[in-house]
Amino acid sequence: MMKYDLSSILVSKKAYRKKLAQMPIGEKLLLIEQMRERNLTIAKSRSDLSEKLMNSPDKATKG
Amino acid sequence: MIKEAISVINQMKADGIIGRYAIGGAIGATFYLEPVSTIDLDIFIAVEPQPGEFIISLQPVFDYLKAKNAVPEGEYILFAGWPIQFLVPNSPLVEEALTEAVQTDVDGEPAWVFRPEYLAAIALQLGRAKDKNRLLEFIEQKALDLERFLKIVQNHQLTNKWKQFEQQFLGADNL
Repeated sequence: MMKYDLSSILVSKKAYRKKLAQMPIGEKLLLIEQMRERNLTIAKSRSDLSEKLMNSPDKATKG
Repeated sequence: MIKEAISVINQMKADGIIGRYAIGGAIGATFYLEPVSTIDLDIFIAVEPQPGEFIISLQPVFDYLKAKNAVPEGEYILFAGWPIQFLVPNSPLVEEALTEAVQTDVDGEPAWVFRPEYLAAIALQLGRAKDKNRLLEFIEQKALDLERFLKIVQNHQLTNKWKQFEQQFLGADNL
C-alpha cells in the first residue's frame, strides 16, 4: 500500500520553492514569461469555448 | 520580454521623462522570491507636475512610449508584449519605498526594485489575499531583514495590521 506522508511532501515543496527563489533573476523572469504565455493560451481557449457554447443552437436546453 | 521593457524605462529615465522608478508588485517580489504568474509589470515612478500645472499627468510617459511603438490599453501601456502599469506613489509608505529602492541588474540591464522589506510592508498595508500570501512567502523564505521591516511597520502605523497577521498566520517559530 502506498504511504502518503504529507509532512515530507511539504518539506520537499518548501525546499523546491527555496531553490526557485535562489535562481538568477534573468531565469526567473523567463519563467514568468512562460507562465504568462501559458495563462494567455488557457484564457483564450476558455473564452473560445464559452463563445462556442453561447452560439450553440441548443444552448437554451443546457442547464 | 520584461528586459526590453526595463530597458526602455531606463531610457525614459535617462531622457528625463521620469525621475526615480522602481519595479513593484509580483515582478518586484520575484527579485527576492520564487517566480509567480502575473499579468502585468508595475512600475512606480516619481513624476513632477508639468510647468504651470498642479496635477500630475502620465501623458508624457505615454507619449514617449507610443513613439517607441507601445500601445495604450486602458490603464496599461503594452510594450514588448507586456502590459505596463505606471503608478505614482499614493502613500508615504510607497513614496519612501521609491526613495529607498535599490539598483540591481537583469542580465546586464540595470533595474531599480523596491527593497523586500518595503514590498512586504506594502503587501501588509494592502491586505488582499494575494498580498497576505506574498508577505507569508517573504517570511517563510527568510527574505526580509526583520528589524528593518518592523521599523517600517511601526513608522507607517501598520503595527495593528502586523499583529493581526501574526495572530492569523504565524506561529512563534516562524520568526
